[in-house]
Amino acid sequence: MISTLFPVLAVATLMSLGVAQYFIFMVVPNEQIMGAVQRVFYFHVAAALACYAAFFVVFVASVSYLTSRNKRHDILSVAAGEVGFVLCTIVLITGMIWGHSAWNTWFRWEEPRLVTFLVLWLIFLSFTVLRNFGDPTKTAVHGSILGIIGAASVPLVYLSIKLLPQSARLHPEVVEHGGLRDPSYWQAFGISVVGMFLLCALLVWVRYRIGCAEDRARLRALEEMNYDA
Amino acid sequence: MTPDTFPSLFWSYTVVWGILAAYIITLGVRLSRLEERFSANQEGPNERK
Repeated sequence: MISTLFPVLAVATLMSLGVAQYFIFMVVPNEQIMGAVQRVFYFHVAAALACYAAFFVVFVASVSYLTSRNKRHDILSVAAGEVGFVLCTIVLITGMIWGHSAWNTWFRWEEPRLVTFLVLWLIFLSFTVLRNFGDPTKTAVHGSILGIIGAASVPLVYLSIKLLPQSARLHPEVVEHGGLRDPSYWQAFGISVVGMFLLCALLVWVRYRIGCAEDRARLRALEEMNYDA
Repeated sequence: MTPDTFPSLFWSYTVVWGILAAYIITLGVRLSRLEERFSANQEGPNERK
């Protein structure tokens, strides 16, 4: 079952990302004010939604690990956290490049969406560093707690600009304000979101299986040491 | 007149695919290290016998 599902997921991911790239560069018309750089939006927003989904998996797996102490849940939390961090990095950098074109500056410290997203990125940077270099006897519990804190801050990122008056908002709200008027905008956006979610699922799956195999290798090495002793 | 923002678009997608490629390469490196570890573990008990 797993051996057949994996190639299907991999092909579906490649195809949807390929079609999304075709739509973004060949079908979607140039936006009137921003020009070509508006096409960053499709992968920027899709990667943001996929990273929120990955952090939701971190939240569920971390809570589950803390209540059950099931090692598999911890491995899933690490996998989703790492992939979510990669997607979060993509969102942050593409947003900064877009911001340089739109605002003539890489980062605006008075913009709450940008600052809260940077905090989210820093939390998952520390999560990834902790899981890779922390004390192996404690990282599972500490990492789960950090993962829960990080995932719990996702609603804060989303709501950060909703709580401010319209005049104080700098981050665009394209979808909420019905900014995608041409049908091809929606098609490109929809395919990009599907592609990014499939890519996220595929990477989490691969990372989870690597984590399980590393765990098996560690256990086998311990058994070998006991056998030698 | 619409500004020429194509260089920003180019760098954005270069970053997207660059980060994804780098992450997939690190996963590949981890996988090959694991394979080496498993094959070394398999050889170990045979050598002892």
